[in-house]
Amino acid sequence: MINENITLALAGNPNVGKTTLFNSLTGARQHVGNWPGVTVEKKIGTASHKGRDLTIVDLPGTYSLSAYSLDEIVTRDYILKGRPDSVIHIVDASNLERNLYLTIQLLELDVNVVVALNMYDIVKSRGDSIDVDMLSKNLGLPVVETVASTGEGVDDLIDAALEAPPMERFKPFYGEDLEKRISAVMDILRNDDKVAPRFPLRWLAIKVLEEDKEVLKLLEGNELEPRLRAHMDKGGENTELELVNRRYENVRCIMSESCRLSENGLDPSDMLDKVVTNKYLGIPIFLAMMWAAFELTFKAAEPFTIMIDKFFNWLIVWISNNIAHEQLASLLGDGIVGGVGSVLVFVPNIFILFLIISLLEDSGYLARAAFVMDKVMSRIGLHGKSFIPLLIGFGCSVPAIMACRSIEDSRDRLITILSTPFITCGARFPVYVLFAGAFFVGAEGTVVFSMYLLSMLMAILSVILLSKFVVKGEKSPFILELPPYRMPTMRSAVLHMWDRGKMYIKKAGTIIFMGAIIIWVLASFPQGVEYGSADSLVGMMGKVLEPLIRPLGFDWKIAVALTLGFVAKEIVVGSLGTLYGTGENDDLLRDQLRADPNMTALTSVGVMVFTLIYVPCLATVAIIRKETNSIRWTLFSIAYSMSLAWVITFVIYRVGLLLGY
Amino acid sequence: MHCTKLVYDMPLSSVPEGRDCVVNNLSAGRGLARRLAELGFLLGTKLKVNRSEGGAMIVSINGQRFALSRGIAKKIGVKHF
Amino acid sequence: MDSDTRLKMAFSLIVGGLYLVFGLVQVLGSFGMFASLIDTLNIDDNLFGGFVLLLIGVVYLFVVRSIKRDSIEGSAFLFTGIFLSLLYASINLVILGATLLSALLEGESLGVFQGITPIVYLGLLSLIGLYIWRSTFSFSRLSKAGV
Repeated sequence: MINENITLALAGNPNVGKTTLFNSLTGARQHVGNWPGVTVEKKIGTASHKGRDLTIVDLPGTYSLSAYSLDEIVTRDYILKGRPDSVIHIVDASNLERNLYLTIQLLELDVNVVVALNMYDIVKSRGDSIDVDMLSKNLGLPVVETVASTGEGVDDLIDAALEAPPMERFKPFYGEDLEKRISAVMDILRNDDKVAPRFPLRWLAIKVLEEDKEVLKLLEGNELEPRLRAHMDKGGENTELELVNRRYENVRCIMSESCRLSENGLDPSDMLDKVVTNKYLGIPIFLAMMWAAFELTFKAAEPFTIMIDKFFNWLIVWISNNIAHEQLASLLGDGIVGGVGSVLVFVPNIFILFLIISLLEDSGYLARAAFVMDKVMSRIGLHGKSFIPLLIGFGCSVPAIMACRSIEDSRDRLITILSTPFITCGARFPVYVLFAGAFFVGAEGTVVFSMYLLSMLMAILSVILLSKFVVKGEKSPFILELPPYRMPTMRSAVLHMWDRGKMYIKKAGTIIFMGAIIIWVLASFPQGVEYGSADSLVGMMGKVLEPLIRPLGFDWKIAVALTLGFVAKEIVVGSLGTLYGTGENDDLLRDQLRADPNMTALTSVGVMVFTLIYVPCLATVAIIRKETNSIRWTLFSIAYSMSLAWVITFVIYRVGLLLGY
Repeated sequence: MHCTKLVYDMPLSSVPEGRDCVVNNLSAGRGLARRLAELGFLLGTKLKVNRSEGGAMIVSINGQRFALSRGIAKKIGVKHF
Repeated sequence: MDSDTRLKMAFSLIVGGLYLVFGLVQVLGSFGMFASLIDTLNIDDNLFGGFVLLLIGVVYLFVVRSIKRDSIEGSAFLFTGIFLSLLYASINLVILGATLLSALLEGESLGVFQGITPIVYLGLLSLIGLYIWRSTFSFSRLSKAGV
């Protein structure tokens, strides 16, 4: 029996350290996908423990296993149908009462459960204590103390999952009346051979009394349905709430024997909160934090950006000196290194931004910021929770849109997903730098900053318009858990940073790499033509597109650059370099831009604005499709950003001309 | 300074900052009531209002802090001392 | 009013006042005023940095406002004021380090002194505050993030 593959599922409330545990068990051996048919993330990985192969499934974080949210349905279905060998239930020791609520429900699913008692250090710092052996005896489950962030206890945990001897499991008691009704329903269900055999009988009976949506769907048309209905109607809505209450009573009973809470005065979290959520200081503090994050992202990344830039420049020179075949040299140098390099140069900025966001998240401040911003955001029709994806969007839209998963309400989520692309991402930044540097010398900072303001304005407008006219529905209620402030560990912050940052690098490695090659091909052929001139394929393409953007004051070169920007915004500056014949040299490119009679300060504003608003890059479009699960909305997003971009740029250009610029 | 009068069934949204109260009923739709109950807002549970401002409230229940929108706070009925 | 509260008030008044003054000068200085003062005190030319100084000053003054009434709330503002000023001082030191590194890479001359702006040196005062009240405000009570 050695080496048969064992499947372990990780379950627990959100924010208890599940993902950290998953990452430390599986390392890089993970695979992320979606549960079939839904936009809930499915993470599976492999690990090996003392010679045995393990498959680990990271289930979504849930507070309960009802049928009210997709996360819960997915988790429940997996446990009942996927039948993992054991469920590792990660429990936040500092929040035991609420976490054990889930434990009770897992016990009723008739699956092996092992409890990981995580974050025990918080408990100790409050002066409370938990008798782990007593808790284990009361629950009838193995309980292992763990500190997921350092890995302590994980080995014992897996040992327990694989080998623990069976214990007498806790059986929740729901009070005389309810228990009678449960037995009655169980008796009815015993007669069924279609649905009942697939599930634990008692669990099924309880779900029937609760009028669980998914279970009722299964029983539709079943011959026993009318008898079951009779029982359900006896209690009505109150049955569900009473079941919840009883479960908590069971939890409290277990806890009363094993936990000791101390009376505590003010802790650091309360103190910080008094100030951070203060009526007057809350928003200024938030703005100050954002400013600091911004400054760090740009200034702290500088030395790294310089190093990467120097490296790529050196590489290009080396290639042209050492590769004899001219075409190959051009492909490698101008095409690949030039193209991909211009993207990788931004890696330090993006990673630092993500690191900062992770630190803010882990420390608990981000939840307060969401709360402080909620007041402002609700006036434009959104949640405080929506602002985190918008923040991430300043780095890259792809992880930003993925972050929208934490928004539970589907209407809010859709609006946020559709508005996030307007937040100017790191890739569009070089376009501003280029044109501001060419036409607004001395005021570059102001110009770029105005672009950022414009993008925020666009995002806000987009939210307002979408919520008023396009996406139907009511604004959903706002409940946000405010975790206690914690000292973020470098390890977990770096992990989160890497999680989001690697998407950016993957994009560079794949889409942009191919895009760079395609551009090179288009610019170098037909054979013998001058690289990137009007006679090359890319030039011909531009001429065809020119009439579409003539009214905006753009010429064929801009048309080409913007079209290539469809693939990835990072390519825009690179292709301009190719088209103007200046290659990697941005200063030269600026001179060329200035020299071009078609390019004026006004048109440059037009280009920057158009770049800001128009269609997001291919990777973003793909992720919009994935997260909204709808081609209709994806196409809508493309159409609406394109038209907005065209119209606004048109207005700016024409008005500018009228005003004599 | 505490009132000695026991007030029944005020909406949580009307409770001033710094006061303690007890959850008395939840006049919310099925999904919301269940969600609140699961997060610990059970009948008979003690609740403390940490902050109460225009749009939202922060309350502590079982040592856990939550930020709630005013809309939800209006649906939670409490007994307030 | 006990001596500890008096000490907190005095400390917050002085430090808060300094932050406010420097903040004001920095904000106005970014528009071109007070040029000579800016030179002598090595004040940054950053508008938003000035606002941050003002903010920290205000937080400290809130201590004075609330500590007589409610010493716990007052301590909260003090704690936060110290925390914020140290945070921004460190952030600016990191940026200073990065700028020096960049200059090194580009072969330019190093101007370390330029980086020591009020945001950094006023933080030293908060460091003193941290030391004085180190037992009350121990960071070790914040446990590590397990997520």
